[in-house]
Amino acid sequence: MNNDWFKLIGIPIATVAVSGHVYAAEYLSVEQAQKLMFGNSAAFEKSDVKLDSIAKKAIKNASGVIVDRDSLPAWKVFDGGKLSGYFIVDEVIGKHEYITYAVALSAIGEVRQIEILVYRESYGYEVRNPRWRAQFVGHKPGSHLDLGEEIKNISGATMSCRHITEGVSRVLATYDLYLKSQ
Amino acid sequence: MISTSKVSKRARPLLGTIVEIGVQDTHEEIAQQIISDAFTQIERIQRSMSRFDDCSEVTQVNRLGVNVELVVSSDLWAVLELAQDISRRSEGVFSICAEADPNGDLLRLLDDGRVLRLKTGLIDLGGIAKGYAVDQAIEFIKGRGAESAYVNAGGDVRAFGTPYPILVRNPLRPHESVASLDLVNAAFATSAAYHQHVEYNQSGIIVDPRSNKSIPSGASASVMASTCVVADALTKCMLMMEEEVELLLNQFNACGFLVRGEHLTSFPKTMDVMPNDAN
Repeated sequence: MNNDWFKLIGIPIATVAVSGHVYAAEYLSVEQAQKLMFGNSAAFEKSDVKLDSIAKKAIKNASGVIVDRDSLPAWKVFDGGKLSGYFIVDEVIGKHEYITYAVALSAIGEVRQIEILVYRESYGYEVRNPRWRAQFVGHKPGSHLDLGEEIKNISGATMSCRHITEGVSRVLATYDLYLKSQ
Repeated sequence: MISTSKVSKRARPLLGTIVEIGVQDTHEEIAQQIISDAFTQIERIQRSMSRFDDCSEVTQVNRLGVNVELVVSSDLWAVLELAQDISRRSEGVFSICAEADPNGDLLRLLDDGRVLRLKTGLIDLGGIAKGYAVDQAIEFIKGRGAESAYVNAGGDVRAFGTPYPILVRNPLRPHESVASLDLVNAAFATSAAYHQHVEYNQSGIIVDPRSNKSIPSGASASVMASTCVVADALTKCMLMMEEEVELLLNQFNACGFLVRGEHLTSFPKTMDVMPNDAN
């Protein structure tokens, strides 16, 4: 019974130079998120915000966050013929992660809910065959094992929501300057 | 028991990290509703316990004058009580004082959910609030009758039902793992400094309140316990107490391992109980 609740594996879970497997978690599709955030009876009218260089600059000035996309996918949401809010899909890129998330705004632009749609880590988790070791010495053993669906929860990550917080500031500035008046 | 029901999972930015909740139920719509409601529980705890939210209970406690009392929620009371308990058992190694000050408690816990401010100083619940939020979400999901679920708040994890597989990062090389485990009806937490491209022995971000010195980066502590709030608190103790942590782990029927540089030390060194029998 000695310490058999965990296994020492001392293996690369990522090899930067190898494209291999990317750790990705897909939570919701755009349609699922829309239903979840606004209910089954809501109607969605596409209202993307075009972001030319002037708009990018204005949004950056208002939010302090760089705008790198040329268009922000957005929807006006109606319930019973009345505007009930806005649904926006944004992306943020951190040092190692890439997150697509949806923001639900009320009809007057308050954040009602945030849901992550897709989370990816850019390490590219290429996982090699676990070698069970009595003593951890940090070697890098050989053959491949697909991480796949089996092991994908990594403890000890410093996942931060700072980038999402910045992204939401940018979304709110985009709403205020462009989306609400279009 | 083999189940054919699907795991529904979602993630939201909460508690300063990304919180993922997975729920297994035969009806996906029910699972989704349970997840939404569990997130609401976590949001409630976040509102109570954030040091940076002007309206939070923790902020109110931080603004209390010396010798003034305040009635706090049962949630905050539970976390403060546990923090005090672990602080005593660890002889001050564990502390919720934001400024390192090992000389006595800032608060006294009184009856009827009251806290009395003994002296000035800020409290910061940090990771234990995160652990507590994970526990509350799991208890809530259990109460709703789901078959199986997990809640993962940036590495503070608790699961019941289906085993939940975890890889633990190497603190020196975050691209690599040092250990894998299946979490079964238990909680697990890891504390470390990562992603800073540091060599072992450079100073890290976790400070020992006894010496006011930071713990070296390149070390990580992982603990499995029956609750996430205990697992999280004990990881901090392990980083600071090193070998001496064993007694403390035993008191909470917890186990864990410390990774320093290229060395891994597991606790207890001779294990005759499995910690995941609590549920």
